[in-house]
Amino acid sequence: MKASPIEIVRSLRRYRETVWLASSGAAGDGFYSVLRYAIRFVRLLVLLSVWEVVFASRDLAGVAALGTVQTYTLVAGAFGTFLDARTDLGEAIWDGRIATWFVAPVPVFGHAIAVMMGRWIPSFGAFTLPVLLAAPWIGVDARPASLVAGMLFVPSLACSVTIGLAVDLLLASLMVATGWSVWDMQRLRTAFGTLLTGAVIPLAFFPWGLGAILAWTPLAAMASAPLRIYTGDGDAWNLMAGQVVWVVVMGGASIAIWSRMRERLVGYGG
Amino acid sequence: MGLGLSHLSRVPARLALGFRMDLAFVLRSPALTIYYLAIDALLIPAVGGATFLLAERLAGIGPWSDWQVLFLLGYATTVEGILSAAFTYNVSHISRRIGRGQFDHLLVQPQPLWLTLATEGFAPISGGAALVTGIAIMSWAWTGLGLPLTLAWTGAFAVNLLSSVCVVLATMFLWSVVAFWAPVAGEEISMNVHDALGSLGTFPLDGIGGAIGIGLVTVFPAGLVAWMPVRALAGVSADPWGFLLTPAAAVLMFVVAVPTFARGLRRYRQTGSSRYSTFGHRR
Repeated sequence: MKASPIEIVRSLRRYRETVWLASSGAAGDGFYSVLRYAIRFVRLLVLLSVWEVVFASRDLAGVAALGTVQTYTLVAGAFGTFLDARTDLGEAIWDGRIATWFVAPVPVFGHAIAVMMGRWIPSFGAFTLPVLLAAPWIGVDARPASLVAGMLFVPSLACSVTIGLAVDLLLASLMVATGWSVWDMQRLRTAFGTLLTGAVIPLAFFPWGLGAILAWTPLAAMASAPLRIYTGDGDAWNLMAGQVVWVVVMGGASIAIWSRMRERLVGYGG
Repeated sequence: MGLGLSHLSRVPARLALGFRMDLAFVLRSPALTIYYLAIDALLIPAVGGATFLLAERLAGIGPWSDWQVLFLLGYATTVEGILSAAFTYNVSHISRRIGRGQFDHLLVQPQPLWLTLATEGFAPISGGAALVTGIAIMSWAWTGLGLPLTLAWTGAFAVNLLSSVCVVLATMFLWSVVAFWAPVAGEEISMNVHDALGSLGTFPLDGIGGAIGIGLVTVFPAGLVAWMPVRALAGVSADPWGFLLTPAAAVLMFVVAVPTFARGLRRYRQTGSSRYSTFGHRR
């Protein structure tokens, strides 16, 4: 029997307390939170300055405009947490917490997503929003290229998050299959994920035609696509269509693989 | 109690012991070690991948040529490599030991604290992949740039490299002092500082002025990880005193970090870690 949309929405209530706990926990980090956001903000300012230096010293008229690239960089920084969606699933497998997740009366990955979303709330309030609001003071136009671009950015970001979660599930499956450490998985994702998704530099600035190749991959669908839609670079509907294809492919593959791997999971530690 | 500098002669023996233990670890599971080394060799330089790709596409960044940017990345990777080969096991990430109450393990050893900190994290084989990769990248860039291999340049290079390592260590220790007062909030502070220094340290920071520019060579010295020393070493800057800036900053950082850390340590000696309740539960 299929659940109706109302029942699905009602079932989400089960996660409400988990979201609240994760949110208050993340906000309660105090000094640590402030430092983390301060570092992210400084990093963003450095990246914006690097672009100014790059455009001042090179003729890039045929590649992109400085304003567009700075908007791209600012939005990538402001929404960085969402464009690189990841849960605690790998850590839970590594430190044994996963054993308690399996006895909770909610699906394991649903619980992991609820924790992730709870942590997003303080990040959105304390970093994303202030950065967007402060944009005029740091000389960047944070507005989307058009109203349509701004509206399409929301579902595009949702697709990006879904693909990010699929990658998370695949890496967790890889951990189970190989016994590799969570630290290596995280570093793998940080090093290549942020680099090749276009989250740091737009794919148009990649050498050797690499950007054109990466544009067809799920990596580009994670960050480059929503950011290009926001800045009005390329056909928004085509970019969205590409994302939807990857949501279906990656989502299906990750669920199928995780369903097999979770049966091989051994939980221990503490 | 003095600094116990008479123990200086014990440093080589301690390092030799670290080498033997690391070798035993490697020989116990060669396949696992090869995997760790390969991951390190690939992922640590990848942190600066964005800078490299941009420089390659645009034949440089600002006043930096693509070869100079490559040298910058190799230098930053080498700094990271030295840290992972010589200060592993949470010696560089000292806030973790403070925050978890594990600093006691260092204090109970029958040797001066500085000797433990200087030698305990020595794992040159299992932690040496990034060092080898960094040296390889630098050598490649050095050939491309046609830099001189004179005694003066080599000396300046070695002093600057060690100074950059000192700056990173001093910064991590300095920020880790927070964990003496706030063990929960500060436990991972050295990790955050390390990540930020690593990610910002691979950018040519020319053109960044104002408070941010000053902050990047003082409070949060990402500019001293690679940018400032490589400006002098790779010929980006013609300033004849450029070679001295990073060593001078390292001395200053050291002078500030040691008494600040000692102040935190005095508190730790009196109160211990407040991370655990009297029932032994972790807060």
